[in-house]
Amino acid sequence: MIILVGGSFAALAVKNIDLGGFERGSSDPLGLSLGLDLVGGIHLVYQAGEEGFEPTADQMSGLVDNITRRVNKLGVAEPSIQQMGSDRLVIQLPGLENEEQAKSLIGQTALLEIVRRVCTAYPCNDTAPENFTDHLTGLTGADMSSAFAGTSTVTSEPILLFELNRGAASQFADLTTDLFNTNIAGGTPDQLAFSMDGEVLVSAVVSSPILAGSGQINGNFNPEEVRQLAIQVESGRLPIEITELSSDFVAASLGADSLDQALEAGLIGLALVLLFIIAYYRLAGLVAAVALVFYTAMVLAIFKLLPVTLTLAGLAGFILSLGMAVDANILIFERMKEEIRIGRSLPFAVQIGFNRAWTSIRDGNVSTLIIAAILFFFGSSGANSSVTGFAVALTIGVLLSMFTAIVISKKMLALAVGTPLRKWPRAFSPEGYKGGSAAERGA
Amino acid sequence: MDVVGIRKWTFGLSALLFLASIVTLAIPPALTPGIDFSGGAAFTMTFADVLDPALVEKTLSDIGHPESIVQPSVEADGAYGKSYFIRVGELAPTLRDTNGNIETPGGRENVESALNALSPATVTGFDTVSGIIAGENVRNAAIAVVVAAFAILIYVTWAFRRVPSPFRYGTSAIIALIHDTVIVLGLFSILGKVVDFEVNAMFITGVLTIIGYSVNDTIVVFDRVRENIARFPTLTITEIVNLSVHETIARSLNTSITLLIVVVALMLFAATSIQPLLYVLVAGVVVGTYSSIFIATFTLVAWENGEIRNVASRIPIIGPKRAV
Repeated sequence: MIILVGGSFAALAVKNIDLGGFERGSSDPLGLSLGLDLVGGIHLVYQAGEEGFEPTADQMSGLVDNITRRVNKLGVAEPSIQQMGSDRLVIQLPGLENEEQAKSLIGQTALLEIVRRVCTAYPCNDTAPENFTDHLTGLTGADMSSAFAGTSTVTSEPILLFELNRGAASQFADLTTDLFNTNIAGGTPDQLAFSMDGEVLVSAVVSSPILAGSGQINGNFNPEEVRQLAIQVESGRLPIEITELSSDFVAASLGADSLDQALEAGLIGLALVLLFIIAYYRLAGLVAAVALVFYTAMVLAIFKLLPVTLTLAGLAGFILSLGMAVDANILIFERMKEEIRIGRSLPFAVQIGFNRAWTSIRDGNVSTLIIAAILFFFGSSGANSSVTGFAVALTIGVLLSMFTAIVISKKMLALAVGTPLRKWPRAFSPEGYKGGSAAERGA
Repeated sequence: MDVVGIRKWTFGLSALLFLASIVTLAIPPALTPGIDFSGGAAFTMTFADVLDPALVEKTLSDIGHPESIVQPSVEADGAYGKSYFIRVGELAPTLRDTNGNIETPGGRENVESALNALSPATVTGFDTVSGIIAGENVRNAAIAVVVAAFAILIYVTWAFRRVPSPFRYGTSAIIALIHDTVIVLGLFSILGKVVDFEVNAMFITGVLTIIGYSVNDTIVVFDRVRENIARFPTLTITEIVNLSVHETIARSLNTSITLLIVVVALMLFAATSIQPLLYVLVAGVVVGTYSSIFIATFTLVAWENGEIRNVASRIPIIGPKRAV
């Protein structure tokens, strides 16, 4: 019993932390994280390469890096760029308003350029990138034949190895000779860099002219850094075109409207349901109503703590689960009502009501959970965040509704039975209406 | 009141609705696919003025989109609002130079400029779905529905493994489930033909949810039948079912009412993207409640009383075999 009471209060305590700005919190209402359809933004699905093209894992990871770099230029607060399956990308940009600009930026083909970084002021090193002015050399990713991670045969440190096409080797030899000469002549040490879409990936001082078209870059890399660098250079050497498969844009104003409407609908729905069960089940209904308020707080707290990103469909799933949470209570109260009718004492009727209703509650809810699981996979397979959001919210809601009914409602009813109220068993059931309810007329 | 006694009427009503649903589903298009399943684009636009939807459709038709569907928002007083949901087929891509500037305007720019000429417009929502994704969505939805049906069949048989004839309980629940699904699909097939009601991924979500709800509701009634058989071994199945329906009907109705309250509240206030889900849920809750009382249990009674065999024996093809 202490555990049960503790359960109720723990739920409330979580709720308090919830409102007080828990670390999971956000600026959205109650600190919940909201989906694109409620805050506005764009959801994009892209196919890498032509139909039938099978990109390697490294190619996809290079592509993700390139797009991440471009998306970062958009200044979106929390962009998400994820690989889906073997050849697709799902991009979510919350709060984005200029979707045309985003699409054209994301859709560009990656451009890897070999850049000469001219030093214009001291110090000429990585601590002061503003001292360099970049000059295009005319050499691009298309002039390279490969880039890969390796290990220095001399020092055993991880290095980036690259090779140029035969046709570009002599131009590269001239470039590196020139860079080497500026260096040893006591002039400013210019650097050689690989830049992707105008952003420097790696730059290095030329320690000797590269005449045969194959070079290496070292620089205290760890093996993982070199591997990532090789993937990025490769992604610029053989850029993969991406094709838009679907896009879903919601302006922030529309998202805000949807959120207001859904909250309003949720509150009105909850209020009407509470009124209905109190009117029909009286004191027991009041207990269920309090349990439902706890339930709402607990579900929202779980959404926040996991966290679950709440979409409009997710809200619908939650509100639907609210209706189902009432069902568990109704099953129990109907059962109690029957037990009271056949003359059992109130405490015994409460006990039996809960015990007998449990199999129905469990068996009935399992079917909903099976469906929610199938919906989850249906939604995930098509990157449909609305469907998965609905499924997740419904699952959490149904699981918690069983808990609320059999733990919280039961505990509170047991407490009520312990008070002088037990002298009026009719206050606990619609039996009090003399021949009034639909159930009565039926019987 | 002898509820079981009215089963001829409820079976008749259901048979009628079921057949009507099959007929409308047999006439293509069975359901009107939204962009999730057919590919295409959808705009949510807010205009400076209230426009006549027919004018918007004509404008779109003039620029090569005769397939367009225009649905205005409706204000509280029933008048059209300034926000429109506009659905067109797949749009030609917009070609851009390397700086992202438009070289050749695509279908999207054409639609926006044509509609802007009617009344200054702001695009607040824009969705596109390619044919590839649409095809996959159709396949995934079909798989989901089939998997759900099998999973539920297995579950129901398992849930009633302790009753004398689990197969009859399971099958009766499935009959109710198919009844609900077909009638709801039939309803939306008609709505699709009459008012261009479009089916999207959320619609399928709703259909799967009502499959779960239908079984949930049936299980509660059957659970009581199962219990009453053990408690009153001397009663006939007709009496048991009558008693069980009486005992559970208040719960069934109250649960349906609470579900309808929350769903209708959402329907009246929430945005268009989940409307198909909500419509399906309302229809599903109503049909599911009806069927769990009047179809699932009565099928069980008819079966246990041997009526199904009696009816079957009157059908010429099946009849003689049974008679032999």
